Amino acid sequence: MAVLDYIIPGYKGYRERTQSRATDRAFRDYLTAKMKEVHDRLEQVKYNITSDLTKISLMNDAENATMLLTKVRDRLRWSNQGFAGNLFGSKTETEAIDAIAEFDKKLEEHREKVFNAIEEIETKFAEGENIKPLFMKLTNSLRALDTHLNDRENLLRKTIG
Amino acid sequence: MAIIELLEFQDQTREVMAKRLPEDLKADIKLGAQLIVREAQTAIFYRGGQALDSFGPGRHTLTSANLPILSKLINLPFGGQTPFKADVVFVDTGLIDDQKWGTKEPISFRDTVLKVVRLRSFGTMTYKIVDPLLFSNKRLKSSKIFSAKDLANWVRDAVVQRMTDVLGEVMKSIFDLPAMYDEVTAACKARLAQDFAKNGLELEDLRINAISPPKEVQKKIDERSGLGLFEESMPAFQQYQMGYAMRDAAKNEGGIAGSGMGMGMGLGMGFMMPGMMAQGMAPGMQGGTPPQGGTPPQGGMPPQGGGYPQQQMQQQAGMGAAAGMGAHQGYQHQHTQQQQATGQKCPKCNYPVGPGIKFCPNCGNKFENKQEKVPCVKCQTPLIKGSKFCPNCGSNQEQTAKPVCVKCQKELSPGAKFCPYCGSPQPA
Repeated sequence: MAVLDYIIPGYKGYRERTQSRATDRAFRDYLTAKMKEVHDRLEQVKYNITSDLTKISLMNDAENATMLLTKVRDRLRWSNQGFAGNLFGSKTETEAIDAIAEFDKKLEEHREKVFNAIEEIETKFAEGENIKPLFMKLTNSLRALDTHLNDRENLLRKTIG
Repeated sequence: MAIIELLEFQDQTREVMAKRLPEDLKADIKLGAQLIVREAQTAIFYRGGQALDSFGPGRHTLTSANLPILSKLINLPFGGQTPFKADVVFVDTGLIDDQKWGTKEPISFRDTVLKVVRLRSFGTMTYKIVDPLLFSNKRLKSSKIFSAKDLANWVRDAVVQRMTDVLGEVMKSIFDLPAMYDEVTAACKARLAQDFAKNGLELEDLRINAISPPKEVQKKIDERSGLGLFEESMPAFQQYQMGYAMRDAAKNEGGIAGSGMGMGMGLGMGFMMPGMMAQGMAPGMQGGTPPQGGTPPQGGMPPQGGGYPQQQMQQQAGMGAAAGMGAHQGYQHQHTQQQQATGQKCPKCNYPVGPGIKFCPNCGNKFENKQEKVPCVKCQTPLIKGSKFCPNCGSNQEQTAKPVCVKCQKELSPGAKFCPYCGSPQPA
């Protein structure tokens, strides 16, 4: 396909931007897979809770965290990729895509916080401690990630729209 | 026919979970075919029978050994079929929503208030495929299409099984359930997660629309709640049940209890009611332990003594039988002792009961009375031994029964040697 770069005017830039978007998407797919991992671990915690039904009151907190996690996971998976704005071929579009890619890299920090939270829940539950406040911690870190994704939308609108 | 194939799948029914292309099952995808996968889809490329790879959303170029144009020539020795089989399975990874589930039959549970209660439950669920390769190999296998309907039975059975398990562990009484719906739902979902995961599925939502007893039980609960006895007045509940049992017994004309009921509710059972009611209403007894047993003292009147005011007894019982009772101290105690002395118990709840009772005063269980029965001389209806008249045909049981034909059972004149109806010889 590289030969088309020389035949079709503007094709090279288009191809580079497409690759950039694909890279960004691949990174978000990676984060989605990580969130799926957290989801599976949370499901396991919930399953363990059901084996001791005296702790069934924890299920509400766990379920709330799961719902938020599912939402964040799907938003990561199906985020806008920066096609809106109809700035095909312009420099602004390239800048926007780069800005989005940079922004998405920061999602990794949130991913780490979510991982720490689920790890703490697993450990404390195994030790028989009260994990109710830890679900709150997990929910807060997920909420922060969700807010970060809102900022991503705002960034796209600001840069391109 | 196009040289380069374009493979894509759009489902308008929202029911198809997986579909194999090409549709004619020739599996002759050509080299360089373009595969278009949409969001919420995954395509699995099979070549030579092996699932090689899964493709996410986007356009992909497939590499098969079926060369365009030349394939017809190559396929000639194979009867026109390609030896290089290649096909694609599209798997819908979006939500399969509004799938209904429900119990086929009511399931029995132990209940702290109602002892045993049969419950049925139904609701909806939403799930999706999260591992297309696993799902395709385990569920679609080599078939052409797989829809949500094909999975409906399995999903319903799994949900019902887990739900039954959780309810059995969590539920103390159905009256606690409304406060626990969210927890029960979440617990069921957690237990179902692994069932779904092993098929490459994820249960996204589980909704329980209702967990309810059958209509007959609901009706009884409604009646009970109408009495305002829901709190913890177990003695009062027993009065209700006793009254209910007596009412049923009175309706049953052919029954033992019915005979007694029809004659002013029966003396024995009549005595029992005020005693229990008085106990339920006595100060300091509310919410206490339920009275033991439900049988009256044999022989009619209870022992005399101080205790329950007559006026209160009449007011509460509202029965003529109570009027002659008077007040007596320790009636309940003696009453209990007598019940225990009889040694009879309800076969269902082991509650001590006396003779002649058709329904258990504790659980309402209907049980057969083991009193000796004899058939009516005319209509053969089972009667208590010693009955004077048959409640079914009204025939006098005490009068000397006319002889009947040994063959056709028709009445004969005393001393007849042959039946005038069938001619059969009669014994002397």
